[in-house]
Amino acid sequence: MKKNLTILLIEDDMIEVMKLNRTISKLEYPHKIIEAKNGEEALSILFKKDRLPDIILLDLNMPKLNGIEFLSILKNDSELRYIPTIILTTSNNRKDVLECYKIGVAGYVIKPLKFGDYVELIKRVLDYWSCNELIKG
Amino acid sequence: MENSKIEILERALERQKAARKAAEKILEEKSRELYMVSEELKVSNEKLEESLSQKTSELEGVFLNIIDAYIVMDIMGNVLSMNDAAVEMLGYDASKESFNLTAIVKEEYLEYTEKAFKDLYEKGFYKNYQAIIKTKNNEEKLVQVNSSIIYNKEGKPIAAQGILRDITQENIYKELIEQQKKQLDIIVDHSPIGISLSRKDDIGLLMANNSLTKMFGFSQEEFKKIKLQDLTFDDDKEISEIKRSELYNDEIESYSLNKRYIKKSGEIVWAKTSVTGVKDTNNKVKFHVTTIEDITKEKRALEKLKDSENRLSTLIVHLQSGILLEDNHKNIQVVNKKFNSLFGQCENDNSFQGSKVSYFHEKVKHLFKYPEQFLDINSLVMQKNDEVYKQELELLDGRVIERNGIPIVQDGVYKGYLWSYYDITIGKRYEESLEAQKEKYSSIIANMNLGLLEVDNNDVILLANQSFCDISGYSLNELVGKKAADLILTDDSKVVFDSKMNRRERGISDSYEVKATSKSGETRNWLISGAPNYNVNGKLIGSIGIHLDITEQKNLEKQKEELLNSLEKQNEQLNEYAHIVSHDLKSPLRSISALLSWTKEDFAEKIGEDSLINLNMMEDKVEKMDKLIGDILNYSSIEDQGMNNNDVNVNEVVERIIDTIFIPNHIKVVIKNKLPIIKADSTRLQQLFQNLISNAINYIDKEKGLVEVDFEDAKDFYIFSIKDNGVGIPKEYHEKIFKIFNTLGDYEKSTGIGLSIVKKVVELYKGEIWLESKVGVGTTFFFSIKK
Repeated sequence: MKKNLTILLIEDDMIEVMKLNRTISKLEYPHKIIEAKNGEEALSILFKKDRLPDIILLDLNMPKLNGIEFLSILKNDSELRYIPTIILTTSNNRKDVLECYKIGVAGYVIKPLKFGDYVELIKRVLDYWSCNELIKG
Repeated sequence: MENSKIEILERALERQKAARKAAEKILEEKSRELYMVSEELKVSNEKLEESLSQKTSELEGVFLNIIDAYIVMDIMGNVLSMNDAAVEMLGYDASKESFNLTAIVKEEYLEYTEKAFKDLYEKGFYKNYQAIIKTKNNEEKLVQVNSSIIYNKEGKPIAAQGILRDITQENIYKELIEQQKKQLDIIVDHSPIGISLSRKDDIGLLMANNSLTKMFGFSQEEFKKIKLQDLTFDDDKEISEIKRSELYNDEIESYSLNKRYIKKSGEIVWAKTSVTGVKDTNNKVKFHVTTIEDITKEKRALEKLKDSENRLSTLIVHLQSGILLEDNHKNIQVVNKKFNSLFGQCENDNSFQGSKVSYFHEKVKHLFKYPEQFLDINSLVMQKNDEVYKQELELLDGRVIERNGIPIVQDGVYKGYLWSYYDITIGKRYEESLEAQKEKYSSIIANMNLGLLEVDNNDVILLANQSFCDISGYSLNELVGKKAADLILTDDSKVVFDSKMNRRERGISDSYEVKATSKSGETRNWLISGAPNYNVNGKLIGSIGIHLDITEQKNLEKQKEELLNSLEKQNEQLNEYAHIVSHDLKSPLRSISALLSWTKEDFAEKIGEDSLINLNMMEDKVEKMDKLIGDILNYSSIEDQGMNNNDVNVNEVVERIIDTIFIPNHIKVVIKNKLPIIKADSTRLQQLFQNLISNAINYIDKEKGLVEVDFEDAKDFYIFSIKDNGVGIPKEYHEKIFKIFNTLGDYEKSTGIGLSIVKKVVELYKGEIWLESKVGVGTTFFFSIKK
């Protein structure tokens, strides 16, 4: 019994945004994607707190507020901290991995090179999360 | 009745009186007759002899010595006749006047005299009558009278005759002798010396005094049956016997012996025994007087003295210094073994003994380095007899002899001179070498580049060397007497120093660093090596510290530390940078890859075959570039730091690789022997094996490929090997292939980094990598990992 997820994608790379949208449509998933180009934009969306996303997909390397800084702010908020956040990045820097899990992330996935592999990966992640019981805003 | 009785008694008395008168008359007549007879005797000696026959033999003696006073008296004591000697003695002359003997006897002798007369009358003689008489000249004389009765032919006593001797003088002597004897007895009895009198053949002593009884424990009664010979100690019997017989044979008059006796208690007593013979009138020894003096104590003391003398002389003989004793005439009395050996004589040689000291001097002078000097100083000493103290004499053979001499003076009188000689060669050499050593070390201390400081128990400076002055900036004068810590150390360092001082008191030496302030106010770093300092008695008297100024080293160390820190930081930044760069490079690749795949997807029908091939080639290049970026990142992140070295089961690591990497169907990867568990970082190990196994697979050109993973347990290393039956590597490339970006052959996905990563990892584990290869046959890579 799959749920329709509201996904907040925080990604500065336009093509990456396109990759996710294309993947969702290719898979014909009913999930709704909210786009934020960087950390500030994402925070302003979240702090409205009218409709909170079910999960957040977060890129780490971003201009201005980077992924880890954003994550810290998020985890300090009494409400927002409960939103499962999955890191979606090209960097497998061990230091970053440790830091993210320390602050608190629900997952850490590396973007594969090939789009086919990417689709496969996103499918599994979204399938997994749509099976989960989530906090509804 | 009473009166009649009295009358009867009176009448009886009267009768008796008459009877006595009649008897007296008869007696008078009778004595007159006797007188007549004696008159006749006088006339004829022969007649007298006849009439008195051989009455008594003693009378005969009396008459023979008729020069004595002689009287004849009647039995009443009236002197009838007397000779001239009697007249002279008594002053009375019976031929001129009549007198009665009893009348001239002193009153107190009257009774005795009466009794004597009675005895005389009854027994016929009376011997040794002694009484004091008064002569006519009123002189008192003690006379002795021996008298006898003269009987007539009928055997009736008619008169008495007596010989008188004036014994007045004799008696005085006798009394004197008696008195003297008493005094003598007292002396003998109270003498501390035992005295005995014995007769030759008696079984006991005639006399033994108190001291003797006390000395031997026998009573005087017991001594009557014991002779001193009987008590003589067995060993001394023979000589005692000889002496006694000499005495009795009149060969000697007396003798004296120190001999032993056995007391009643069984103890032995040493006694000085003096025996003197007592001769009789025939000049023959009849008695002997023995005086015995207990000398046990003296004897013991003497023995002790002898013992100690013996010990002393043994000591001298064996003394480790040569001893020479001179008497007051410069004669050698004693030399000991050591003395002999010092001067090259046989140890028990006696040639010096008894000779003149000068003989010794002459005899040994050639042994000395300066013989004349030796003789000179000797003659000087001999003149003055002064003390000689620690005089050193050098011998030709290199020995050095030290001698001390002291005159022996007893009660202010010079008795001799005592020399002691020592061989001090070793001590001397030792001293010299000690001196040399001391000089050497002093020079080292003075010239060494280390500051040396000696302090007492209160940290007051006693000594500092030049280097210490140099590094502290103070002069020696400014240092000595000051408290070291107060003068030099910074406050922080003083705390450290105090704790070290505590350790020093417990005898612990150690090294520590302090900050010191030099005279110019500069703060310097010093390394101090401190050790407790003890005196010869092992008592802690302070400490000695060696100071090294390590400010420069310290600064260098600090610089090095800073450098290391900045290096680490830079490394970290570099690592970070590599990641960012790799991300930044990878992101566009991902976009390109996505766009390419979408183009292929979206325009699959519109693009031709050739274009599709081109797009595919583009995808391949993008992929290779992505791998290149990944490999560079891997290579750059292989460092010592961040390695987690745990027990890793290599077998599992390799099996996992075989499971995960792509292996074409015609190739088999096998583990020949079970791989060990080693201490390593599993990620690095995986990189290592994965690269080598991938390489092996990639270069296999045979129909059936085989990759064998094996290992060998060498002594300090594990040697792993990965063997393939691939194309093989020509010899000239065996080294080149490990260099970064170098690739061999035509495997298009090769980045040229894989083997560089492998080599870097192996080197991290202090191992080596090498290979054996035959072109066309295959290659075996070996690498070792240190245990």
